Formats: sequence, structure tokens, C-alpha cells
Amino acid sequence: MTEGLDRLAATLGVPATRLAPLAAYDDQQLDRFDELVHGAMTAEDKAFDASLDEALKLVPKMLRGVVQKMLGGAR
Amino acid sequence: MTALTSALEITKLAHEMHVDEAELAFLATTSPDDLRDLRGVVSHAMFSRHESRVKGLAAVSKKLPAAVTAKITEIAMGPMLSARVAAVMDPTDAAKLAGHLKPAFLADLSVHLDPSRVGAIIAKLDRSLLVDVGRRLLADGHVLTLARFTGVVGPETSLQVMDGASGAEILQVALFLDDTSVLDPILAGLPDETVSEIAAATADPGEAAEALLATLSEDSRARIASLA
Repeated sequence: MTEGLDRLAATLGVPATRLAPLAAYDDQQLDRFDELVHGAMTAEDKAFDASLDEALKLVPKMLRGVVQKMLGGAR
Repeated sequence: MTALTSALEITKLAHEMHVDEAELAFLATTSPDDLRDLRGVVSHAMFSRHESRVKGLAAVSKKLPAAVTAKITEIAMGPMLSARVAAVMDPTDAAKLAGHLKPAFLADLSVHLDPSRVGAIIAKLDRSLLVDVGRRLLADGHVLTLARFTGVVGPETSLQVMDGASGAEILQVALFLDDTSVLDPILAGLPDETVSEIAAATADPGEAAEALLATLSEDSRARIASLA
């Protein structure tokens, strides 16, 4: 397994062996794929947080803390 | 045929990652099965990042009346976050909530849903609502999303969704199906005129026609041939 595959596997949270079919690609391609996965995750994180903030605005202020706690501390 | 099926899988993976499929073109030599597996890995990785907070939101929504949750869902949460929450909600609560949401919003939400996670919810929804949402997806050109749901909603609902769709549109949906076993019963329920359009759409001897025909039973292939 290459370093590129290890990095991608770490990003995806799986053992590198799970991505064995990608072993044919070079590190440059795998790093680009890793970058795209990171980009997708970051974009989703931002959209997720923005939606969550909007949703919390509709919760009465006095209950907001309780709801944030239910959301695992939110952010 | 493998090149086309790999290309179709790349489109699905690109959809999952919200990237242009050209960015993933280098994966073209990967087999369709391996690409499908990779899509599952990526989908799981993206979903699990927010799982605990999403479960928290589902727990909060359980304490509110469905009509209030629906309002918060549509006004504040938006389709992406709502899709994530729906995937972890109790199916009965989710179905009740869906009944309070506008079909247009449900169609937007469907684009972000992983159908494999919401089969139990879909089973509880009225067919008329599913058909309404499905037709909106078709009208908006979301053939990939529609294809992913076709295996979950069953052939009868799919047939109602596709009533009036062109042969070319049905061919596109068919090519993106994850579960091709639904294709024969759908084809059997389509009128000759539509099957004839599908036959015309596959008339160009190419990979699309080959890919479609390969998934069909002998009877379905014979019907297409007779109407071509």
C-alpha cells in the first residue's frame, strides 16, 4: 500500500486494505482524490453548521442551551 | 459495457461528493463493483461525521409536534441537514413529519438522501406523495436521484411516476439504477408506445443499449426488439 492510499484511508476512516482496488493509482491521483473528499467534507460541514445555526435561532433563547446539550454540545 | 457502467458509477460518486464528474475521470479504469463499493465508503464517511449531532436533532424533533418540526425543517434546516436527520429518525415519526412537509421540499431533500437508509420511512408514506415527489424529481432532471429511489419504492409506484415520461428519460433512469431487478416489472407495465420510444432511444447500437438490454429478461428484450 502507498502513502497516498494510507492518507485517503485515514480521511475515509477505513483500513487501507478496504481501498485495495485503488492501489493501481499513483500518489498524485490518490492525493487529488483525498483533496476532493476533504473538500466535500468541509463543504458539508459548513452547510451543516449554517443549517444548524438557522434551526437553533428558532428555538427560544431560554431553551437553546438545553437543545445544544442534546446536540452533543453543538459547536 | 464495463466502460459505460464505470462511467455511470463515477457520476454517482461525483454526486455523492458534490464534485464535477470530470474530476473523477481518472477512476474510469476501476471496475463498476469497486466504484460502487468506494461510493459506499465515501457515503458512510460523510454521513458518520455528524451522526451524533444528527441523532440529537432527531431526539429534539421527537419532543415537538410534527407541524412545528416541519416548519423548522423547511424554514431553517434546509434539505441537506433534513435529509441527514430523516435517515436516523424513527420511521413512524419521519413519515408523520413528511406528511407536513411540502412535496417540493421533499423533492429537494430527496436529492441529499441515501435511499438505502430510509426504506422503512418510504414504506410508510402514501403512494400519492411518493408519486408527486418522484414526478418533481423527473421534471427537474434529477434522473440519478430518481433511479436510486426506484429500487426502494417498488415497480408500481415507479410506473406511476414515469407515466408520461419520454422513452429517453426512462432510459436514463434505467441506466442509473442500482437495483436492475426492478426494470423488468417496470417495462412490463409500460405501454407499447413508451417501450417503442425506449427502443428508439437505444437504437444507436452503443454501450447504453447494450447495458440496458443486458439487465433485462429474454421476454423484455424480445418486446423491445418487436417494437423497435
